[in-house]
Amino acid sequence: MTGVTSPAALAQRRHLLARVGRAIFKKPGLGTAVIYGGLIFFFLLAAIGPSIGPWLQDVGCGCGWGPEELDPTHSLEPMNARHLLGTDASGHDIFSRLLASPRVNLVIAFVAAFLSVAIGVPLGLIAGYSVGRGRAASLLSELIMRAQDVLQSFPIFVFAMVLVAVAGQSTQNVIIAMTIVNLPAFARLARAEILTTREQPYADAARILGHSNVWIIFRHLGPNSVASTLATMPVVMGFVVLFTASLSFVGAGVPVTTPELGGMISRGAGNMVTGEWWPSVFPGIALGVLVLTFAFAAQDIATRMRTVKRGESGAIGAVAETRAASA
Amino acid sequence: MLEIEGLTVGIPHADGSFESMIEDIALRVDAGQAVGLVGEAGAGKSLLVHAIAGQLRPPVVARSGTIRFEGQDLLAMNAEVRQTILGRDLALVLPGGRARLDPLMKVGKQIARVQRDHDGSVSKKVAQARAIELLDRVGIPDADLRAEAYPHELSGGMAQRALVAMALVNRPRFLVADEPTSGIDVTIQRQLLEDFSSLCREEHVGLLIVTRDLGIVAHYCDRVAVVSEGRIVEDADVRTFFKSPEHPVSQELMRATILERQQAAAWSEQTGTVGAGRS
Amino acid sequence: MTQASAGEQPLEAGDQESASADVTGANGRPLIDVRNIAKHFRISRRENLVAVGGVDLTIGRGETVGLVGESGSGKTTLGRLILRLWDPTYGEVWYEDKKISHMQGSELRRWRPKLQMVFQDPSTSLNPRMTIRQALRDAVRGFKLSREERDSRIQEVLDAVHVPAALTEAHPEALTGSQQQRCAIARSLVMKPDLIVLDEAVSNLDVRGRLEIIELLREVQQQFGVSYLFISHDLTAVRSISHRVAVMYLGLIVEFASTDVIFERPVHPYTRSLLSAVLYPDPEAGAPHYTLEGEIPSPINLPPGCPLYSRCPVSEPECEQWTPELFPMEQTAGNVPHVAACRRIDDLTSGRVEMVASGR
Repeated sequence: MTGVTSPAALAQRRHLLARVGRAIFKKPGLGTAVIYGGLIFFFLLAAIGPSIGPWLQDVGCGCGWGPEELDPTHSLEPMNARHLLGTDASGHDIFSRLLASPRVNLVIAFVAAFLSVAIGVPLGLIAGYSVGRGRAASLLSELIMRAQDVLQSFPIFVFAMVLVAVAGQSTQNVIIAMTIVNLPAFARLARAEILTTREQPYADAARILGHSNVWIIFRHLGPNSVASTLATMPVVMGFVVLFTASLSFVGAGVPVTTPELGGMISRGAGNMVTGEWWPSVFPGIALGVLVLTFAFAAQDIATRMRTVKRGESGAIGAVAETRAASA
Repeated sequence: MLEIEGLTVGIPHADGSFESMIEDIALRVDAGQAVGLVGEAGAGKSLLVHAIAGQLRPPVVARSGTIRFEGQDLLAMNAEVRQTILGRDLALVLPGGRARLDPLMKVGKQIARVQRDHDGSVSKKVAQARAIELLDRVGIPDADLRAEAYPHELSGGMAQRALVAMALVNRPRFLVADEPTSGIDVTIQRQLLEDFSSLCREEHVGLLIVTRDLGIVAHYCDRVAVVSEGRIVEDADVRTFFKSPEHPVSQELMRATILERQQAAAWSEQTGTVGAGRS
Repeated sequence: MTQASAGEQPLEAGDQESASADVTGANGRPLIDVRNIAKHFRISRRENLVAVGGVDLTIGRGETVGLVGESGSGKTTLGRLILRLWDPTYGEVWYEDKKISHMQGSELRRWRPKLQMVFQDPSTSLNPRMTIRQALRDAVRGFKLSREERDSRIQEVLDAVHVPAALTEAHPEALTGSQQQRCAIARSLVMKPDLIVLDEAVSNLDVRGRLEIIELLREVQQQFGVSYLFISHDLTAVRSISHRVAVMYLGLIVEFASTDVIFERPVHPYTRSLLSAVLYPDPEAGAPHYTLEGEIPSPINLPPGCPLYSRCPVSEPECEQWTPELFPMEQTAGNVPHVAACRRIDDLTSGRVEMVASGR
């Protein structure tokens, strides 16, 4: 009974991820608390993290260090009372850098993801809406999408290295590189979505009302097309954090002194072979937790959006009808 | 042949209360008999079909009652045994057209597979020939070519007819058809219904047609059951029903349908004498 | 295909055969005049789909023209061509003395509000993210109205479609199908259009909903004087609202007459079989059933000649080569012309040839 059983099987498959999540945290309530607790924790660190080290210094604690402060005589020290998580080869305090790094990583992730959405989604919407609407519009659509192809096929590492060679190592350059990497994905998602929504009768209704294309795209179709695109944002942010780390490996990342998880891992990697594992492993764990938190949050948001969308259809109208009938 | 007794389906709540969606349904369809199930949208017709098809999904459960098919209770048996009956002896035509077909498989192959799933001894070739024969029977032109088409290449009406063909492939002894002719044009609808009723008369297939269209009931059913708010409020012989519907809900249903016709006739008379338009 | 319908040629005074006196406005033109319009879709280099193949149609002010036909007959395409949702392959659409079939850009956008549409599925024809009130405000946006004018106009149409104000703050999904359809009608009305194309507007509703909406549409027509093009495969619904009915088959109008003529004295073999296939809710009603063989042929690369040829119960070999043409009938009811496109029209009306009724 292919025709009858397959939709049900499909529905079950769709919730597989949700079921995995539920299996990890037996109670869904606890799982949610852990995910969003984690998110809040990282946001909090992004807000005050870099000042914790100096503050500890001010209150006279022996373990307080600035994130970019050097303790050259104590380089590559294991964990001790002076450096809680040890120091790296240049004598940076790993603990205070770990506290400070979410700010850099999250700022890069947020700004890059925001920029790619802000540029990519409108481009995708325009490209999708223009397909097959006369020669000029189709040409515009083709132009936009081929530009995305170029961006996507361009080796991003090479691009980042060129950027660094020209403009020097800086956080801005990393953000630009990250925006360019992610922009085509958002453009494609938005384009695919609007290709579906533009076939809905309300899109035709808006055209017949005499609305301009811009108004139809951004007021009518856009809001109905971007939900799933936006739901992927947390995943993309996690990806940006990872990618920023990779850039540091090829020397095209943020400046050496800036406390950033990827840079810390890459510079500590050289010491691993000689047994000094702490400069790499602690940022590595932090990186893993950060990316996982974002991934779970993304899944949770997507699930919630699905449930909200369903709602109780016809409820208000039915109530009104019953009232009218009894009156 | 199909006998439903005391069927109550609904959602059990955590506090022990039970929100019933259909309640205490009793319905009987004999071999060679066609029964029409009518009612307004949301009355519980489709839920009843889901219960027969074993497609109730939590939180909706059947709390009590039996659905006996040739003596065996479909609700009590395990899912695997039920699957061997569904699609073979008891076939379903559910609404939804193209969405119910596998978009990645050719239509003929899908129909052939339903046959081979239930009878492994049938060769691919024989099953394919049978699929084409059935597509032809439900009124699809160039059936041998259409069998090689993917669902998206079919019109909505053709997809719906392919679903009917799929239901008939294993020569079922009982057919449950939920809005079988939705999206099908009137001339084809007539052909399809004629086909159903010849199955009934000549092969003694039991037929349960769920529909909103009293016209179908009047011409192609022997009995009619009216569902309202989850209960069967009237179960009568078709001629008796159309002569004197007893329950207020049935009367309302009839009244609306007749009113619609009268309104139409009165209007066309009026336009005929007055002439078109108002200037 | 030429059509002997009114509005196409200048009229001679006292021409009693013509319906123009009823269906045209003061300036002697109908509200909408569709002239030999066609839409071809090119599927591939070799395949050409003729959705509409050269159709003439007039719609008078305040008139309802019903358009019936099976799926694939081109009725929806015709509606969309008139609304300029699609551009015609050839042919023209005139709105009184303006040719709207070739307007472009902002000129077209200014004209659009005059012609509106109501769709089949009310749940998808309203923007799911707008409340009813937001959707109505959005609809009148082009009109630069003051807040008071805007709100009073919205109130006027809401009253006309009997939607209580309390419901207007809800999103469409919270309403029942019939209420959604009322709101969709309100949205089309708020622009004060002259024509509303109703594309299967009652087909998704149950019997009670259909009754309500048809009644409502008639009220609205009385109140606002709007014309309708009522497209449907539901013959009962078409009969209960239309002044004139056009029957389409494979992209062509095969018969066009006043409603009672179409339903009581149809001539064209296709119209007859379409009508006889309707099932009336009466087990005793044993109407003759004229069957057409097979199903509607594919409109891709359609051979020339009568489109019904392969299925027609009264076809002759000559029909295969006959280019369809609408003939005026001799006896017309009132002053509305009755036209039909059949080669054997005289044989059919004179009873020299009978369609064979198949037993049920």
